[in-house]
Amino acid sequence: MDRIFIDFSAEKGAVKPLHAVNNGPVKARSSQGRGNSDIWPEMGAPYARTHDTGHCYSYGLNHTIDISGIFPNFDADETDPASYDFQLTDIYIANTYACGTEIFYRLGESIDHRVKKYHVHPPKDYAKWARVCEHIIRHYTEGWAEGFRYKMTYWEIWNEADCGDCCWTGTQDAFFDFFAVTAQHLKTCFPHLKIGGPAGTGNRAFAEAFLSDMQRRGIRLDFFSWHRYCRTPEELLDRVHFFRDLMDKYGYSQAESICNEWNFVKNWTDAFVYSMEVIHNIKGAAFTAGCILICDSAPVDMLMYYDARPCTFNGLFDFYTMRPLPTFHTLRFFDALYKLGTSVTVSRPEEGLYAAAAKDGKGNSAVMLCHYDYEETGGPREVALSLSGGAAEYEILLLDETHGGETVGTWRPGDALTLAPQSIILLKSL
Amino acid sequence: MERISVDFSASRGPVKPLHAVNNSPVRITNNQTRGNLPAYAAAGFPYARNHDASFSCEHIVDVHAIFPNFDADETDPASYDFILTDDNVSAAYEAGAEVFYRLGAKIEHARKKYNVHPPKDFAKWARICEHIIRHYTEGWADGFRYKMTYWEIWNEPDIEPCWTGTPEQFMDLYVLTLRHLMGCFPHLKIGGPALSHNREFAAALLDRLKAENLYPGFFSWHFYGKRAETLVEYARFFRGLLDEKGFTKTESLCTEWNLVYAWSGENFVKGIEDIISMKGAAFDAACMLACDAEPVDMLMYYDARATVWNGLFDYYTMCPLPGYHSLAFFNHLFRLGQSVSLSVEGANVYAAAAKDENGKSAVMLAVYAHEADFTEKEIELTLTGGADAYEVTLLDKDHTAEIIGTWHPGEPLCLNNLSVVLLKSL
Repeated sequence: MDRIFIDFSAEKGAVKPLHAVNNGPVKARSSQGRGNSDIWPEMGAPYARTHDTGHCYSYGLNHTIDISGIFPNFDADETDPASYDFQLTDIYIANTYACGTEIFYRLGESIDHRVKKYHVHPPKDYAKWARVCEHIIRHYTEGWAEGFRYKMTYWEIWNEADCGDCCWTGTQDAFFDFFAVTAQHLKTCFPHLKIGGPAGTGNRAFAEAFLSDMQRRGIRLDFFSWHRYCRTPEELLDRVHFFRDLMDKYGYSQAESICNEWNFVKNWTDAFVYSMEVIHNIKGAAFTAGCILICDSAPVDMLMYYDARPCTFNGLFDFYTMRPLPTFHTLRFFDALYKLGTSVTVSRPEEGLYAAAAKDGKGNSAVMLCHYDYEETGGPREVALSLSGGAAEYEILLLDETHGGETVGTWRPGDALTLAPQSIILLKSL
Repeated sequence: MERISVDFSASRGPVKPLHAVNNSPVRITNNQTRGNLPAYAAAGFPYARNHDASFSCEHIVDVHAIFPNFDADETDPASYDFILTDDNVSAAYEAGAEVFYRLGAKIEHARKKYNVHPPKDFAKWARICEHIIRHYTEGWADGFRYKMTYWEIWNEPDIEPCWTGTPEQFMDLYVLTLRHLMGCFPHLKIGGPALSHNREFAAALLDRLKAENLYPGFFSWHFYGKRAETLVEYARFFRGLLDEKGFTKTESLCTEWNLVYAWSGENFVKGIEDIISMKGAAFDAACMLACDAEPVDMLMYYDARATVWNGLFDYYTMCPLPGYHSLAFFNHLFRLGQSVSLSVEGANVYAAAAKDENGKSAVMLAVYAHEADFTEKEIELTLTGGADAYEVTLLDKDHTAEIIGTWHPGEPLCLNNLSVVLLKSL
């Protein structure tokens, strides 16, 4: 018997956006139309990061988001609206806001795994590149060049400069120079926005070198971003603590720590196909729930699932039909907590069980529980769930091998709860 | 009871390449490891047309990708960016497929079009194509000497996502390019236009070609539907049109085909679901088998690349799907070499048979009904010639191309709807 204690009187602060994602919805075309913009809002993803958007035909391929797509001729005048090609990016961004999700804009380039690299080289003029970014920000937040006034808070500089030559063909020092020039320029232009990066792969040495170098240069970071592909929530948690400690060590205590790519990967070689299969099944949904729930009490400010774009890493929507996959419901469950608003204290369960709870100011509350069994060797876990405060009765929504997140009954404090391996439960106060 | 009679003594000529595909295999790499090259090679796809290849990488195949600055010198190798296309092309040859090169641009559904406009200088565009051909067939610009027979000019100029100019502009481009390339490469098969659907467009183009005294190596067209009989109707129509206009020596090629119920709404999605299912595989088999005796010279399945149209390989794992086995079954007939006469009495049953010169023979059967009023078909299969015993390989909802036994002439065959069988002589 596992025991979990929830104290609804012990508030921890706002529920964090741990169910943010990479990339936005697909709006069905009139021809060959299949999309997910009708069901996307149910997931409640608060933010959509725009990395690798340029790989997706449904979004506009290489003409979308990436600097090389929006500002295709680097020798052009960066102050002239005619130098910019915003059209397909405008459509993609508008579709995302229409579904209730705020854009988290990655300024840079999509990853390039090909033998010849095209756009992941150091820009030939860092200051000009920064000014191009400035104009993109002005387009989307200040209306420049027949633009928009979106609430677009986060602006991230580059992606995975430490990922071999897939994302940055220059040296580490060149990247630090480039980052510093851009961050300084954008923060000066937009003190009210959150400027940060560098979306590191999770490499500890690179992260430390980066933070040390930025501290030495006196560069302000509103957020520090990093990635983690792993097998268990505990492996993600390890990085959460490491990066938070590292940020504090180098004077970035005020900066947010954001994991803006994560998913299940056993390894990148012989178990890669297995990993893709897990991402799309109930085990992937339980892994996702475990990661979100374990981070509710951990020092990380946002998690951004990779990826909601039609691709193999998308465990939210089926590639063929765009219909929801199990992990869609994991995010939908967590959104119920997020919408309630206030996170409350939950005792840390034994490994394999994960829990978080939230309440609003009107007497509503919810609990989310997950049993994730990486080894697939365990049996069901019986949970004694004790509540201090909370409601007298809860609706039970179940996501497991045979349930797609539907209501299966009611639960009252004191009732036993049994969680099968790879199952997720949402208890919503009645 | 349906009746099929096969006469192995009556050769009809070579088995046609009806299991060609669009696009190359994916090599297995050492990072994010998944690929399908070994399975692709095992299926023996004879040709890989490279239309829409650039969905996976904007720097490949399309003329504007290989020659990104149209104002550059088209005779200078430095003006060309071949490297990623070289890689894509070599993967097809590594898997035993010959590249069928589509000169043009991928389809563009987005509101803003980039590369489906009429080139600003048709003659220069034709000369760029010439140099691309020289690169892959004559070694120009550190190139190759591949056997690359078919060169198709443009794709679906009769729909706006593929051509923003007028039909007349397209015909001007087509005529000029065809004349230039046929003049440069009389030994290659130059043709097109990979027509989407518009038959008036086809007739007008052929009239124009006749007026120009230009006779392309092939005429290409596309088919998306839900019945093999409709594909047969297309095949007969286009062959008839070609003959009527005097293009009797021009091959008729269907360079895109697949299962489609509708182009929008839930029925579009239903079609996508069926493409990757056993129903799609039975449809694929029915189409190939129905065309074995029809006046079409090649069928090219759309698509073997990672897309919703790919009923051959699973998008996530790249493992074979049911449709893969239908094409692989047909490959067995293709490798035997000689198609033989066959008659089918009955509905929703499709068949073809082949033999080699060493006494080997095979029969491929499929049962496909889009909306079936039966669950199974009893088939009386009669052979004239052929072998005494055949190994039975079954593809249906319960069998993934598995050998399930031996068949001897005279024995009845019972097949469920949406099943495919290959009988290989023992």
